[in-house]
Amino acid sequence: MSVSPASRITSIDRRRRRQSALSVAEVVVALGLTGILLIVLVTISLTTGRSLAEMFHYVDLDHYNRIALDVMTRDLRQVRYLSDYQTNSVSFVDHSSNTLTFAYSPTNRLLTRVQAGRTNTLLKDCDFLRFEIYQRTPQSNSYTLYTASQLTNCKVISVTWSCSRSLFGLKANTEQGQTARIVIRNKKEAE
Amino acid sequence: MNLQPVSRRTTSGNILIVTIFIAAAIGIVLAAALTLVKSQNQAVARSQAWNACIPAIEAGVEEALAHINNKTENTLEVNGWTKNGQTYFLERTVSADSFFRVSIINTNDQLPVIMSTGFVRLGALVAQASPPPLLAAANTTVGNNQYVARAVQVIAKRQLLFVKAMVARDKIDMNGNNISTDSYDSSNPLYSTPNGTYDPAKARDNGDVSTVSGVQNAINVGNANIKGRVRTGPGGSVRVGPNGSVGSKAWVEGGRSGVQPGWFSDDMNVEFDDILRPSDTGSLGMPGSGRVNNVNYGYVLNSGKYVMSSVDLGGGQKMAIVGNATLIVDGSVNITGGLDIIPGGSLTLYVKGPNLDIGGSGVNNTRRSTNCTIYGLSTLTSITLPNSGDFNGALYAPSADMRMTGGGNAEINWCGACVTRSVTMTGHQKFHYDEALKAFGPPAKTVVISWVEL
Repeated sequence: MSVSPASRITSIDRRRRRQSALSVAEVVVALGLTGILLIVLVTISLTTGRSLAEMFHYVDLDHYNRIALDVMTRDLRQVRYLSDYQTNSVSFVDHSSNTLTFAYSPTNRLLTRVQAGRTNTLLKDCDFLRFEIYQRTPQSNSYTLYTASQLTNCKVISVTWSCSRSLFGLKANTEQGQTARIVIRNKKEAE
Repeated sequence: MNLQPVSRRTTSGNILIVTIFIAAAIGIVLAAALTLVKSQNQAVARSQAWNACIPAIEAGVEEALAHINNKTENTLEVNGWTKNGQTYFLERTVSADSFFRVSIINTNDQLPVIMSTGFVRLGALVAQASPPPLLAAANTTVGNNQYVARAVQVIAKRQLLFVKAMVARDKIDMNGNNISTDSYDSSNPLYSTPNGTYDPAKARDNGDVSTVSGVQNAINVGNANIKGRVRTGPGGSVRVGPNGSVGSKAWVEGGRSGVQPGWFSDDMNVEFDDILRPSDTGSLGMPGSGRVNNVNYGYVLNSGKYVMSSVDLGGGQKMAIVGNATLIVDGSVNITGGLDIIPGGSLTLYVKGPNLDIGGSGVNNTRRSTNCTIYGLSTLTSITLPNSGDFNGALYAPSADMRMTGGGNAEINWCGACVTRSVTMTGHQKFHYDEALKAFGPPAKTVVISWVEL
C-alpha cells in the first residue's frame, strides 16, 4: 500500500500535536495531583507520627507508673512502721529493719526509692507527688480515715502523683496520674 | 521539542512500586501500633492479676485466723482442714479465676505461722506472653491453666486479756484525790519484791489507761499521776487538771504536768469478747461455811468447781479460798466483809448476775494478782469495789460500769488489771498494773504481728 506525501505529513503533525499536548497539560495536571498527594501524605504521616508518639508516651508512662505503684504497694504493705514523714517524702523501717525511703524531687521531677543505701528511680517526668498519712480508725459510717497526728499512729499511706511528657511543646494526651491508699499490714505498737 | 512518550509498561510498574511501598509503610505503622496496644493490654492484664492475688492471699489469712480463733472446736483438723504433722492445710476457691492455699504451722501454739498463697488465672493471650522483668511472679500451671501466684507469711500471736493496765469501752473518770497508776512485774524480782508483790522503789511506767471511746474528755485524768500512756478511740480527747501528769516515770516524778509528748494517742480500736459461762460439769455444788486460821467465814472454798445461784454475805461476813477454786455465780455477788485467798489458794470467779460488790477488806491475797481472776458475763453491769480495802486480781467485765470508791485519807491499792465498760474513781486509789498478767489468763484472740511477702 502506498501513502501519499500529503497524508504522511498530516499524520506526523497530528502526532506532534498530540505529543505537545501531552507534555504541557499532563505535566501540569500530574504536578498538581502529585502535590496534592504529597500534601495528603505528609499530613497523614505527621498526624500518624504524632498519634504514635503520643501513644508511645502514654504507654511508656503507664508502664513506669504501674511498676512504680506495684513496687510501692508491695513495699509499704510489709514495712514495720513509719519513721519520718513529709508531704514529698516518707521513710519507714522495713521488715528487715532497714530504712526504706520514697522521696520526690520537684526540681528533678523524680521519685526515688532508697533502701539500705541503694537508690533507684521509680518515676521520671513527675510533675506532682504528695504523700498523706492516716491512722487505722475510720470515721463513723464512712470509709474516710482520721489523719494521723503522729508517726506511731500511721497505718495508711495515701500517695497521689501525675507525670507528663511534652510533644512539640504540648503536654496534651501525654499526662497520667495515679492515686493509691496503702494499708501497712504491720503496725508498731507504742513502746 | 520532541518528547518521547512514556512507556505505558514503565509507568504501570512505578505506580505499583509506589503503592506497595506506601502499603508497606502503612502496614508497618499499623503493626507497630497494634503491637504497642497488645503489649499494653498484656501488661495491664498481668498487673491486674498480680494485684488480684492480694485479696486471695488475705482471704486465706482471714480464713486461717478465723479457724484459729474458733473456740467451739477442740482441734484444727476440722471444717475441711487437713493435717500433716503440726501443719494444717486448706485450699478454697475465691472466685471463678482465683483461689488460695493456706497452711497453719502450729509448732508453737502461742505463735502460729500462717502461709497463704493466692492464685489468679491469666487470660490465654496474657499467659502466652513473657512476663515483664519486674515484680511479676513466674506463671504457675494448675491443671491446664496458667496462674500468677504470690505468697505471704504471717506470724500470729495469741493475745491475752490483760495486756493493758486499765481498759474501758466508755469513759474513765479519775475524779478522786491522789490517784495514780504505775506498773510492776510479779514474775520478775527486778520489778517487784522477792515475793512478787508491788514494790514502789521498783515500779515502772506501764500503767496505761485506755478507752475505745472517741468522745471529748473520754479520759478525765483530773489531778492524777499516770505513769503510762493514755489512749482513746479516734477523735477522743483527754482532760488533764492543773496538777495532773501523764507520761514516763521520769516525767511524772520530775513534777511535770500535762501529757508528755508522744504518750497520748487516739487510735484505740479493740473488740471485747463476751465471756461464756462454763458448764456445771464436775460441780461440787454450794460451798459451806467454816473457820480458817481462827477466822470465821461465811463460805470456804476448797479446790474444785462450785456453782451458786447468788452470793450474799452481809453483816461483814467474809469468804475464804483455801484451794484452787472456780466459783460460778448465776446471780449477783455481795461480799461485805471481803474475800481472803489463803496462800496456796486461787480463785476464778464467774459472775452472771447484774451486781458485783466486794467491800470490807477487799480481795486479800497477799497482793498476788494472778491468784484472783474475776470474769463478768455480759449480764454483769455494775461493779463496786471496796472503799477501805485493797483489791488484788484481774477483772474482765466489759459490760460493767465499775466504781472504785474510798473514804478518808487511806490509800486503796489495786494490784492487777481491769477491763470494764467504764471506770469511776472517787477515792485515793493507787493502781498498780501487774505486767505478769500479759502472759496470764485465757487467750482472747489470735492477731497478726508480722506480715511479709515471700
